[in-house]
Amino acid sequence: MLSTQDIQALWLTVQLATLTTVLLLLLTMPLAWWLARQNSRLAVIVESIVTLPLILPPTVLGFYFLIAFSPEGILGSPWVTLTGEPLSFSFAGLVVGSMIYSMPFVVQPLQNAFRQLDLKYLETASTMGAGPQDQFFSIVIPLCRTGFISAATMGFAHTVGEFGIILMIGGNIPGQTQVASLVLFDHVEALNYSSAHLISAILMVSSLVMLIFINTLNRNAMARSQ
Amino acid sequence: MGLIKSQIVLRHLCVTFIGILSFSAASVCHAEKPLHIAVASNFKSTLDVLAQHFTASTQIPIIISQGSSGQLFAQIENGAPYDLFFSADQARPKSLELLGLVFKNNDTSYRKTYGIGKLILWMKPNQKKRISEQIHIEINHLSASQYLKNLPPSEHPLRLSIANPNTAPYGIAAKSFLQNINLWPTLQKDIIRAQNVGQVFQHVQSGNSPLGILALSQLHYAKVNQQHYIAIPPQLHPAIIQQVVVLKSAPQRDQAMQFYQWLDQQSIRALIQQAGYSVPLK
Repeated sequence: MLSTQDIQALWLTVQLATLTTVLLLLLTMPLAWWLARQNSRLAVIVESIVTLPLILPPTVLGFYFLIAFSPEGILGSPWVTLTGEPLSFSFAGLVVGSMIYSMPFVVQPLQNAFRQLDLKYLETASTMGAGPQDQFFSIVIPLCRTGFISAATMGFAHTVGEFGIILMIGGNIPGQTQVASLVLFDHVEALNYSSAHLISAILMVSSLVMLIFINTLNRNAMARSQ
Repeated sequence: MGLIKSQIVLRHLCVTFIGILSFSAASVCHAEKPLHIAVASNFKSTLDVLAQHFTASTQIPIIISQGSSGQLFAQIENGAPYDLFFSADQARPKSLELLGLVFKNNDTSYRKTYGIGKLILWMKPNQKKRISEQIHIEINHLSASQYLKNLPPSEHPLRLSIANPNTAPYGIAAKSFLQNINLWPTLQKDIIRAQNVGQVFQHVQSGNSPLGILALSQLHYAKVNQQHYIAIPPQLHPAIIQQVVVLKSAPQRDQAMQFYQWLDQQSIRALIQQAGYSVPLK
């Protein structure tokens, strides 16, 4: 059976993944738009930086975060001044770390969707008197719906699967930073295999369901566009 | 022309590369086969020194894999090809023995205590915040428990890193020390759980935790200022009895037995002692 600690960890994982995904969607949308419309050398460099977390070992990010998040570090120090709380070993620290870790999974689907969007629709809407806000909500969102849904699902799923970074910057505090992948690691180390099986199965089935959802969505979108 | 030239260069590179490969393969074949030792993080630096001495006198090279005792135990149980295992406790070597995974020769099991760990509280002075200077000046007159109990309320939220008490032997000792001085309930929310004492060291060294409970030997090798740590009295926590075993499945069993016996030499025992452990009486 799942212990309260296990349930707490699963719930914390859902919270972390949701918050990370929402913040990433909001903050990286302009970036994805810019990347989709630019062909400059700068865009290539920015795109490569955004994609970097995809191929870097999580330990590289974890190590840099550990240094940057410390109360004297470049991110940790302003954070302490602003909030009075340290950034490392906190939920906020995990959100910042996860946002960088999962960024390519959110930016890439958005970027692809924006690239396929025909600008003529926006020009026509503009000549008919639609403001930028109206154009965004009435044209961009509905037409790029598949992109938004894939970005959100991939960002969420990838954050749920995060382990190496959280192991280094989380501090394994139940209820604050102990997510499902960490609780699972502890169960394995403590030879608690029955609990480990249960959590693994939950993570595996939920990840599979998310992927089936995305793939169905993408196939339907492809069928529609043909 | 350019294409042909680059093909020639490429061919030269390939030949050189294959040459290097076969050379290194040959040198590996000629050398003694290495002894593969798994070690709990707290003893890693000490074992590095011991391994140098052993290799210097026997020409047997040593490969060291470090991890938490729990992690290494799980690997061994699942067939990891180690020759020796230095645990941070005696529970896991005993379990391995019960599972029949420890080498036995005429009823003598190759399992023994190599050191008894010493627990310490490490305080890293932080220029900006947290631990006040005044307390640091007074360190020499305070015991670890007095120090923790006298932290001013302004120091909260405090961070105290300990190894995970569910899996790491030094974590179990740290937890029972905090329980014995009645601080476990109050410090609950301030405790950062590291995977092992190696990670506790990382937390404090990088400035993320101002306080950490770890093994004396770690600070010995890092050459930490003695003013910045306090020994935790051994009567305040269960003894950290650290045992080593020769594994039954050891690929290099003879050399493993040789290393195991070599540990009993007076000079080697002295090295372990210097590193920050007590050694068992003979």
